[in-house]
Amino acid sequence: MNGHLDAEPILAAYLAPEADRLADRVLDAALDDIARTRQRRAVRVPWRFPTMPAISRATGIAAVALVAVVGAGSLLYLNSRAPGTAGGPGGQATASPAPPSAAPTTGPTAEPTPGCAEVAPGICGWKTYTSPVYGYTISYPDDWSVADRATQRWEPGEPEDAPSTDVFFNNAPEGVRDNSMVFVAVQFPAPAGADLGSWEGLEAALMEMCARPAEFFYGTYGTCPSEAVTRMCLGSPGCQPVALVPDTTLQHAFFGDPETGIVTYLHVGRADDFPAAARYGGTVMLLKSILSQLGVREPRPGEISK
Amino acid sequence: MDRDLVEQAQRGDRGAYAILARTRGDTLFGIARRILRDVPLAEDAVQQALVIAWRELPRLRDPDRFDAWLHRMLVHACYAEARRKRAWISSIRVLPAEGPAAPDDLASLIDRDEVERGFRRLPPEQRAILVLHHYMGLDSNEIGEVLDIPAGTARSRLHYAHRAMRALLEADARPTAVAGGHSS
Repeated sequence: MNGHLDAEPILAAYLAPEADRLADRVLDAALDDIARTRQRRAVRVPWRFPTMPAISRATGIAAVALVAVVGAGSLLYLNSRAPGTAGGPGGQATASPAPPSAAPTTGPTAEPTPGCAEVAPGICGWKTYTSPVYGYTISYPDDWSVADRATQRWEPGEPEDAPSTDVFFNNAPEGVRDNSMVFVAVQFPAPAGADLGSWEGLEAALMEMCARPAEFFYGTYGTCPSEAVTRMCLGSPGCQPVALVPDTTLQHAFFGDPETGIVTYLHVGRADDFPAAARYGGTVMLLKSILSQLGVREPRPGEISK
Repeated sequence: MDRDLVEQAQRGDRGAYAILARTRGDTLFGIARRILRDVPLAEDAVQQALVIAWRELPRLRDPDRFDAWLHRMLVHACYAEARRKRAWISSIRVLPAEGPAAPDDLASLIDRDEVERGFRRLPPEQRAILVLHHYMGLDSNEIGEVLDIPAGTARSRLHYAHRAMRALLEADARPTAVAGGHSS
């Protein structure tokens, strides 16, 4: 191969103009935002890109990086359902209008949201989303939006921009993402032989996943849990194990389908005391609120040994 | 005509701005989609750029430069979206390029999938400059105006972006050639 390849004509063909049409809903959404956005005063400053970078370079990378993600998204409905039937791939989800439970036990105190009857701390209502790829139905706060839709299943080692996660955004004010939060939902196979029906098995699987980042989505976020895992239950009666893992920048939640070996993984980016999360009582509380819509609840006395 | 609309929008006329946005939406989307290679992300970037542009519009000194200025907003919004996306999956490893079906000559090896794969590996900044050049048809001076960099810098960056793309395409092709694979 003597490749003296001329990239220019290749790129010219690849990037050539073709019919591109911006969806009306995008333009309408932008104009809706604009209707609520005040212009800055005209200051005689050089013609520079003023906005996002200012805060964002640093914050943006962190923010984006964090990106919060609230992975959990409103609950992948997926696995949810009854214990033992937690959705595997293709599991049908039905948005279960869950009780707005999630009584805050720790973290920042949520302030009442003006002008709405909250169904959960900081949340005025829910919208639902059914993933065409994974099949779960997730509820997310009604003032959030779906930022990304999975169009393929997650596979180990896929490119970073592969569309294999469902991502929800909090529509940060004025279009600036520095205060943005996200939750992310995805499913992937648990380690072979994992016992997802027991706490010990789920937590062992979790440790294995975080230690093998090339093979498991959770591992891509790096660290193994350094703090105690909070145990919660999915379903009632019965208690299918759900593990909440606190982290400095992300709050993770896992549960698996013991029959299919599929793990549902959600995370909310941002530390629990992230300012924009205060209205939700913090990101841990937000994750719990989302999980509550999937039927995840606090364990009753005697349900867990830990 | 557009200058009038821009000036009206600068004074807070949302109707005038809506006209400007509607007449430019498709082009903005075309740019963003090519930079980000993802429709939802591109839509997000366009929406974000339009909102930011509205907010900052009073600060635009020369209404005749509205389009270049708006494109800059968009390019920065694309950077933000790309970083956001990358952050989600920050440590997912990129699979080594699988040995593509191995044709005998290089030219036939460069199919769209390979170009796509190579382009996605470029940093957003290089993707943007290539899109401005090949999709928008901008020369170095115009690219410099959009990106607020000197024309010489724009020319240099364009050169490096082409070189990077060529290297990626050749690297993608190399394993096959070495392996002497089969033709597709």
